[in-house]
Amino acid sequence: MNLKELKFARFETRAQAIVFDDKGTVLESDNTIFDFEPSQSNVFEEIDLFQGMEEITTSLKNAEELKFNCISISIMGRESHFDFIIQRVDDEGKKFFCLLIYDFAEQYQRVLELQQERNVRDIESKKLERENRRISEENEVINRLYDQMTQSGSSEYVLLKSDNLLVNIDLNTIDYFEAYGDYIKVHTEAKMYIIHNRMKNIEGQLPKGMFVRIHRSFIVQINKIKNIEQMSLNVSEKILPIGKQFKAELLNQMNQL
Amino acid sequence: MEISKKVVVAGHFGVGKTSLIKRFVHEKFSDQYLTTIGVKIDKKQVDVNGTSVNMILWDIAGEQSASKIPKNYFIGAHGLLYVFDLSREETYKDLNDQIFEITKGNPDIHTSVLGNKSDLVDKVLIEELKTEIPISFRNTSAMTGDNVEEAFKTLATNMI
Repeated sequence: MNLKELKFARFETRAQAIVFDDKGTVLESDNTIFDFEPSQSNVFEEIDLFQGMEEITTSLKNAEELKFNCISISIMGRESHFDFIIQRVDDEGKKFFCLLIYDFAEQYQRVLELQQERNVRDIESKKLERENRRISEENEVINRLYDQMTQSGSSEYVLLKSDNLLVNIDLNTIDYFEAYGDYIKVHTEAKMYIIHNRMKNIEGQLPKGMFVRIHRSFIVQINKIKNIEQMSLNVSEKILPIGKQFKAELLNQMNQL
Repeated sequence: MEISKKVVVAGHFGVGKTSLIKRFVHEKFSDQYLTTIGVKIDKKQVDVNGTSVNMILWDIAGEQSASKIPKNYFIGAHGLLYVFDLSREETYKDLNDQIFEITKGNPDIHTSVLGNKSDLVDKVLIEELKTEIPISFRNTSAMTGDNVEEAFKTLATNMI
């Protein structure tokens, strides 16, 4: 087999040629892919590509052609990606049309996979961009509010950031603050908040005389202390340790009440 | 009377063009995203005041820009459904330019604009977009089927 024959053998099974008239009636077909019966079959009726385009097709000039690549369509129950070339070919003063159908399903399958990957990646990255923008805008608003509120010296409420939310907590409801790694647990009468902050910062924000530091890890509201023992105290039914270095200041604050 | 009309469905990728057609033609929906390459042709017959309109739907692979769509896909088209995603700004930010790019070669084409995925955004945003976007559009949801039938039928009515 020579190269030309080899090339033709590979290609032959994927290409079909059909000749039809200006009514769409099939005059000749090599029936490589689909069986069209001359005089009986009609391409305008059997191939959806032509529907709504009959007029455009029949008004083609001699030798003029229309090309449609990568058309996913069902023909005679077989769905695939096809390329189509429609050409007007006049012969002996008669008007004929030639339809070439190429079945490139395998090649287009690979294109489909690559395109799918590209589109999904693009959609996901845009989604991520939008989410980052939203978070950064929210943070900006929260930080601005936070700065405003903490600078205003409000003594009845404290504004804390918890789970990206700005929570305005009534100081009277806070039992105690507990260090928790890089975070602080704020124990209130109703619930517990976890905020990203340091004990030293919180201590600076709280009104003097209302809260006292009793341990490296605890700041308690003085009014909530039920009783004090040698090295511990009771706040809202919780026993908290008293650090040696904080005991004097605790007693000092208690004496002032 | 029975007539056939070619309708091109275009818009950015991932906006739900294929899902809208699937909802309209087969009354089905899948939330799995499967991209379209080239064109997928489907059809559905609708009745418009006693006229049977055979809508031949050319579902064109979404591109970031309409200028990348092969022009011959629009040959003989009677209608255009331009779809964008209400939840993705990049699909509607230059809507005017995208539609102009398509219709400049097809000045007689009947055009409808659809803001799809209305189920993903709240009504307030839709109302805001209706004042911001300079082209009137109909919001649809291929997932719930909201407004889908009406969108296609309105275009069919306009085309005859």
